[in-house]
Amino acid sequence: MTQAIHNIFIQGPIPPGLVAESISKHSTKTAIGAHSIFLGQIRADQVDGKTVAAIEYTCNQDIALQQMADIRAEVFNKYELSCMHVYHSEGYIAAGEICFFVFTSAAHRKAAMAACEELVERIKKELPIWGKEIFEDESHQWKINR
Amino acid sequence: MKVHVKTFGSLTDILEKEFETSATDTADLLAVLIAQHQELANRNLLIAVNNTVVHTAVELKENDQVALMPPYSGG
Repeated sequence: MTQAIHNIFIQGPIPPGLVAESISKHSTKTAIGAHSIFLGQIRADQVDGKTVAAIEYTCNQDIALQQMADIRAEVFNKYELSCMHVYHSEGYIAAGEICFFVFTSAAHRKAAMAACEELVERIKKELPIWGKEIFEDESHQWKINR
Repeated sequence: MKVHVKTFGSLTDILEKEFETSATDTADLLAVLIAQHQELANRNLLIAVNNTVVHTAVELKENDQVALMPPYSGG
């Protein structure tokens, strides 16, 4: 594979300011008519009377970044996109914080929205990332994607 | 062959995160680990050799890097 490898991983939660900054950076790209944004937030699930306090994410970074480069190339080929930006957290992310940010831009809304949805689904399914759900009493269970 | 193994996700509750072991191929490696850790039997695992995911048993060479990965749960 010859696609450029971009690091998508951020240590800790994704700062909400990064989302605003990303939008603002595109104001000079006036061929864009639509942005689509997905933000994943840590949910305080209840399991057997215990509450999820955080998720700790780990990954197999070498494989994840290669896989992401392949997905990026395929999604760019499939849709008329101007831009695509993906960030995923590593490490400890507390309930209520943002752990996943996908941002697609296109001339028209349908390409931006469809590409964004496809990226979210493929990243969840195809990237070697694991979430460890940590409860308030510090016990844990491993997240299972539905 | 001596190989370097890295484990990920829930497997790190059962196995060391990194260790060295000897195995002739990936099936042999799994069989040895399952014999030592019964809880690994019937687990759905993905194996990568030198950062390439393999779906059938692959012969291992000296110093190969093997990753043992449970189903992904990012996002």
